[in-house]
Amino acid sequence: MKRVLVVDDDPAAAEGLRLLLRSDGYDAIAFHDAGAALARLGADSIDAVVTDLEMPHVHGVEVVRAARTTHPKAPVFVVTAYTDSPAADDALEAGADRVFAKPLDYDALSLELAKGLAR
Amino acid sequence: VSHSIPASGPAWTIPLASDGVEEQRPWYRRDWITMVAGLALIATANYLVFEIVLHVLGWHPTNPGTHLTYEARLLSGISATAAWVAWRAHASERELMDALARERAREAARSLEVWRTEQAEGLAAFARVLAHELRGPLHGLTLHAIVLQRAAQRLEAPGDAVVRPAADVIEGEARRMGALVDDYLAYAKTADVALVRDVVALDVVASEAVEARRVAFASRGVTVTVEAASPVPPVSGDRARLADAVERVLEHALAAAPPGGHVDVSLETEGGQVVLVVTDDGPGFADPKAVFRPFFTSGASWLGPGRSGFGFAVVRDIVRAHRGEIAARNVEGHGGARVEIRLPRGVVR
Repeated sequence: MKRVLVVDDDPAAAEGLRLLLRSDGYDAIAFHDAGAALARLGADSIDAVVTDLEMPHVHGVEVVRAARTTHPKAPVFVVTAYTDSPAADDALEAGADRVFAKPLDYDALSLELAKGLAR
Repeated sequence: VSHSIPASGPAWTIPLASDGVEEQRPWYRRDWITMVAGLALIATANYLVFEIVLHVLGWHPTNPGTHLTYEARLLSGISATAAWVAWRAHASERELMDALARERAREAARSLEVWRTEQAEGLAAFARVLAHELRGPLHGLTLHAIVLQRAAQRLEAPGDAVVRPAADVIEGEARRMGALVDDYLAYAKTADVALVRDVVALDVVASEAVEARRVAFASRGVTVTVEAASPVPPVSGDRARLADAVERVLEHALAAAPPGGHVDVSLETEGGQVVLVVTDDGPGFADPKAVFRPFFTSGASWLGPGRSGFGFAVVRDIVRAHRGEIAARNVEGHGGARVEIRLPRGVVR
């Protein structure tokens, strides 16, 4: 079972995505605290990451960078309300595979995730 | 620089002499030396004229009985000069007051323009914040609606499903709200995004926009036509933004036209402009003058819920960003709406 790390400071968003990924057969783990997510990235084997951008304490771009360092082959996706902000470009430069807008088109993410994991 | 305008109206300030009115004063108000010299000259001229008149009349001072004329001459010279000075002072005061009034009117217009710009910028900033803040909760709502849909799919028998249709409604409403939020963002972004300059064939843009909506038009029983009087020259601009503008106008016409109605799109060249006109035979705009105001909705039931009121404001801003003009009015006679977009042909710099 592929393990997907979900990071979003909004518990409703993180939990909703975790439930959907689980129902699609992934081992999804949700974090509301990006700092805890970073610790998990360094300590565990992760197959894919889905992260928010604007979060307190740790920015989503940091999560993308950490994921790229610890798991270079894992697909990394960003889901943000600020698709038009420079941070979205920063995330792509840091190695994110794609930036999705909130509210998320889950089917599109699901497709990209499957493709990314099949690489 | 902050400008504020109280509810009672624009805050006018009366400019002082140093506020730029000084340059508008006539020369004789500017320099007292020039003024004194001028007065002396006028007094001398008056005196000479008086002398000549006396000479013509034969009232020479040496004549008997005219020994008082020196005083008379002096007094008349002074009074004539005083009258002239009073008249000039009055005239120059009037000119000064006119200049002040003009300056005040200009200042008021400037204040109003600044105020309007600030209002528009404030509204755009508000729309931006609102849009971003709403996207978060909508995201959570959408995800959980899908969770519900899936759970209901698994647990409910298709015959007596209750949760699944309810979850479908929640998801649909959340998506509709998402579209509104996108509209707010589109309005907020129009002001501050640099436009890409492509060569854009507006007739192709219009045809594509119509083609993409063929099914929607057909399902509402609305006939749509696109006509170009002659080959339409390209315009210069951001293709995606121009397409957005045309699509928004077309969407409005589609929503406005009654079942069995018509929407006509026409393109022509007029002078140096490409003119695109979209007409429908719906009920027309409730208030054509208010169409481009943000938060304007026509209020007619055919528009349906879910309109942001930013649609035409976005279109106007896109057209203006391309140095174009846009006008909305109701068609005389059958009363449908008519939207006209004019864009300069060729390259815009």
